[in-house]
Amino acid sequence: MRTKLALFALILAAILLFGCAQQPTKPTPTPTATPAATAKPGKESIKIGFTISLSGPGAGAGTEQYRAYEAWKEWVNSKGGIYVKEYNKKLPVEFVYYDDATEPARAKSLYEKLILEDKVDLLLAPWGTFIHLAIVPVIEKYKIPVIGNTAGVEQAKINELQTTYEFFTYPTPKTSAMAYTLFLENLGVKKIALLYAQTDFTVANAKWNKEFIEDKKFADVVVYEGYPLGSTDLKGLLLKVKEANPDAVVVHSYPADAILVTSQMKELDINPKVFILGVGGQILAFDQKFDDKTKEGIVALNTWHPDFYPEASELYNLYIKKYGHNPPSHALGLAWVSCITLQKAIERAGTLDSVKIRDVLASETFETPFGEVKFENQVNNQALTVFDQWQNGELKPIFVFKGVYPNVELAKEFKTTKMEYPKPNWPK
Amino acid sequence: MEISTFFYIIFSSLQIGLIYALISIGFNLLYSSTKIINVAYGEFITIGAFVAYWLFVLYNIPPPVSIFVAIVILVVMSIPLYQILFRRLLASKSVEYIEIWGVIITFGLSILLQGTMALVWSAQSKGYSYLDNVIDILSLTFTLNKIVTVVIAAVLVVFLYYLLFRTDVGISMRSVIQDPNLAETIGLEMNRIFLSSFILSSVIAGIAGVLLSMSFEINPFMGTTYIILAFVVTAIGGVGNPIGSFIGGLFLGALSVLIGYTIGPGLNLFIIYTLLVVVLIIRPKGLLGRG
Repeated sequence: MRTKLALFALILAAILLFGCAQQPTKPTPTPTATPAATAKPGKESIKIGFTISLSGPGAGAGTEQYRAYEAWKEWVNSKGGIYVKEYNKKLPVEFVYYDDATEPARAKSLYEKLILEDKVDLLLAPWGTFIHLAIVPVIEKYKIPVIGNTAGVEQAKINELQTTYEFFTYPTPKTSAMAYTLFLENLGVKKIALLYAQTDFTVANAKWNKEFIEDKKFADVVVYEGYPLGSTDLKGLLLKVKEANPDAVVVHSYPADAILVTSQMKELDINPKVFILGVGGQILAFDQKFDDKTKEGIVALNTWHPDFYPEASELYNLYIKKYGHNPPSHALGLAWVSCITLQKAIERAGTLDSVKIRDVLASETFETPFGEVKFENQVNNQALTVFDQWQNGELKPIFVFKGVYPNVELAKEFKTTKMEYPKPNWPK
Repeated sequence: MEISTFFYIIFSSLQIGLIYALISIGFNLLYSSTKIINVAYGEFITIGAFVAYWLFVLYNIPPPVSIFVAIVILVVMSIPLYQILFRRLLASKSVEYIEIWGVIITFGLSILLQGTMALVWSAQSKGYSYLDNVIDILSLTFTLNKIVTVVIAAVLVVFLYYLLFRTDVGISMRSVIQDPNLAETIGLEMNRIFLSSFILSSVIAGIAGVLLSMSFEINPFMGTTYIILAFVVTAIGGVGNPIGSFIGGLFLGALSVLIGYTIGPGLNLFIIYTLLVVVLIIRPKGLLGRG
């Protein structure tokens, strides 16, 4: 009996250890003092903290974002670090991070721990919209800015949050939806099937997409259906799409279902003139899952491309060298735009004082290898919405839009590749 | 409805239903014979999926061949896991004790396996392309890997039926499921039967993982989706009855395809969970439940 109890105690301890390894101890709030205020001269590094989803449902995308952060750290440190005027030298970047297990409440506590116990100078963003939103009260309380990346939030929601410390680089759902609409209008399609994963972000994208298409009256939305995230089958829905025979199939997707929809579209031999995927059409698993002939002509949403700027390409190549093959996915570009904007804001502010850095972020324009960044009402009003197309096994940019709704325009300054239209039929 | 749509619905229901059935049979078998609710069952599926992935990516070994490697790996893993984690627990013979501690132990095991796989292979999702070409059969199109999946799953279900209903080991397992006290009284070696159930359950999960890896992306946390599925199919099909799992799997497969085609997949989970609640109220052991 004693041995049995000991065994159970051991397992219970293991569970608690794994489950709570990252749980912070209760902090003593000191809202009046900002960490930067106590930074001493003679500083040797800039301590940047963040949580990231390395386990739980967001782990796949979170890992990619984390690796992008690591690649940026290596890149910036290889150049000697970030120049901070008040120390009159370049300071290397140092990370303190925790796995938030894709749990917003845990992320919120951990951000408080990063600020109070680990005494980080500045912060980077976690993964995912809902975790970005969960940490707002903490960063507002301690007055440390976070430049968001993998978070698509409606402007109304951002206004409602009344945040002045969280900034959003990802286009708002209305912005993405308008870009989709302009792209489809440009192609001249007449019948569109709109499908969407049931998450806040993708539902909002699809809703606005439908509304804008109907407003512009250039096409009919012949199928408009959502499906639960984590679906293991969408054949029933796709049979409906097949019967409607649309010119365009647009899926406001997430990673796992982008593969599912593609695989089942191919299986049911549904051949629209254009097939557009949201998140998931540009990730490593998608690239590995389908051969080049199957991927040929599929369009995927993105926010950057390594061909646009040499520095973006440099970072991308460093990532590939460090972690192996990976398509230029949206998560990489998003992570890097936030890192480089922070880097530039530190340089402009000439200090690690988080309030001053926030003021610089709120008022100035930043040229980055991922496009211009200018925050207006906390959202980057120069955000890029890029449509990539798989051509010969590579993602090529075919259309680039710039700006936030209602000012979304075709950005002609970026070099794009000619779109393959109509998409070739599925190979047999 | 067009005639081709009708045939697509039939094939899709079969394809999805057989996988659901397979997953549920393994889960059901272990619970019915040992009363262990194996929360880590999904991770055995994940292990099978990763075995297929790595063998394909590194050595170009086709997944149907990887099934045999997955079986060996899962048997080798299952024996020490059983001896260390479950042998003493099962000796207690108290159903409540086994159920409660079984959940806690396998929950810990699930986290341990997920964490280890994420550490070793990273949490980034992966996939591979195998027999992804489309073929025409009677003017209907099918992906070859789906046909392979259906054939292997069907063969496996038939094999499991034979094993459980026609062999001594299977009959012993079913005797334990139906009346454990009687089974012990007539001299069946309970520990050996429990071990066999655990190994068989793990192996079924591993094979299901290999099959799933041919169609879906894989990552260390994918098991969570399938453990929920295993619970639902088992609860609806019938606890303690592998045939219940088989029928439950096919039924839920067909239902999800039909819901998707008619009212849209947005209500899929709502309808399936409502059905689960109704079945549990009317027949707490499931439609074909025993024991």
